[in-house]
Amino acid sequence: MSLKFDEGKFQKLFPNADTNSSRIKYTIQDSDYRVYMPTWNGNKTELSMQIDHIRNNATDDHANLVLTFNPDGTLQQVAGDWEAGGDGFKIPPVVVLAVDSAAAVIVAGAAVAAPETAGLSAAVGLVVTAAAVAFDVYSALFNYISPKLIKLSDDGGRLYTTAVVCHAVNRACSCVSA
Amino acid sequence: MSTIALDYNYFPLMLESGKDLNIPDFKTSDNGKDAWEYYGNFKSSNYDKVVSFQYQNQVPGDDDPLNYRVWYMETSVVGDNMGLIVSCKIDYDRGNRDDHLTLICGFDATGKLVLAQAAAQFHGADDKNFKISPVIANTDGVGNDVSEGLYNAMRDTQKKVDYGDDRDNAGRKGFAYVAMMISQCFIKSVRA
Repeated sequence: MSLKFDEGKFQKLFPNADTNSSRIKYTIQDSDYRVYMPTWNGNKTELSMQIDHIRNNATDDHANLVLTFNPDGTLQQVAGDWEAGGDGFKIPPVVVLAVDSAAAVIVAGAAVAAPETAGLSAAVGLVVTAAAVAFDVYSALFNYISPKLIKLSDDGGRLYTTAVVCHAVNRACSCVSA
Repeated sequence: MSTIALDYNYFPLMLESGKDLNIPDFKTSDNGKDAWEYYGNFKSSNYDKVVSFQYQNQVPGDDDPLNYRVWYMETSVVGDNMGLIVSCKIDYDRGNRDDHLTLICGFDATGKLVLAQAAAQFHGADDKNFKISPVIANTDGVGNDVSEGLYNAMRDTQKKVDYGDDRDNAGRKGFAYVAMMISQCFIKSVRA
């Protein structure tokens, strides 16, 4: 039995959005973002997502995510990376593992990992509730990129991408079912 | 069963009632609903609106209040009504060059604030930008009050930083109080 992703529901979860079958474009907090329709990888347990922070007259920032689900449709893992438009700076991939529990979905994240230990082997540390799952990933990414990011000009829209990614992952999870 | 959501119209009413906070455009007649006003590059939806507010009496020898604005929040429901993520950008208005704070709050199914995180980007002071570690209820020295934990984390991060003049120090360090108050307004405005 394979997992299902409800594209129609996903499109409707973005506020005041301009949508077509392949992408959702929306304006929030005075910046523009493009969320591509998530697609299943081969075995239908991994959902790939790309999110752009649209920078007018400049190369967009790109976030790439792979969400891995358990057979029952609950989130097992989020892997993510991020590339700054303009100079091509990339952050090392980060993985956050989600662990199920009786009371709530508990997440063991990589948010406190040091940059040199980034990656799956570092995916231990914080225990947070499900509401934080995506944000945990991106707080980890922020730790990695901040020495570089602070040298890049911004109007607030690049920084807010962290929240856009968090909401997009959260919305995607709510559209996956067994 | 209703879906967990943020009551946007209640938010300005709560913000206006905060100590040392003032919304110049607040009208008692409508409980502050008109405090949401278009701002910035786009003017097509509520999500292009802000509440502009002041933080008063923070600059030594200066009666001019500090000016901030908070953007119309983005929210998304967690799973099958298991919680709510609320995020917004907060601007510290320095005249023509704003500073930005991104604030994310996570609420559980009962409307309890269980997570807060913030990151700041200052105009022209790049080496002083900061992010705090996630503030999670009842972990790592954070008690049950995540708003207070958010304030403590931001205050501690900025404590020894000198942003230059009195006004910038007050305004940028004021993000800690402002973010705490906004998170408390979220708590009062989330309908579980």
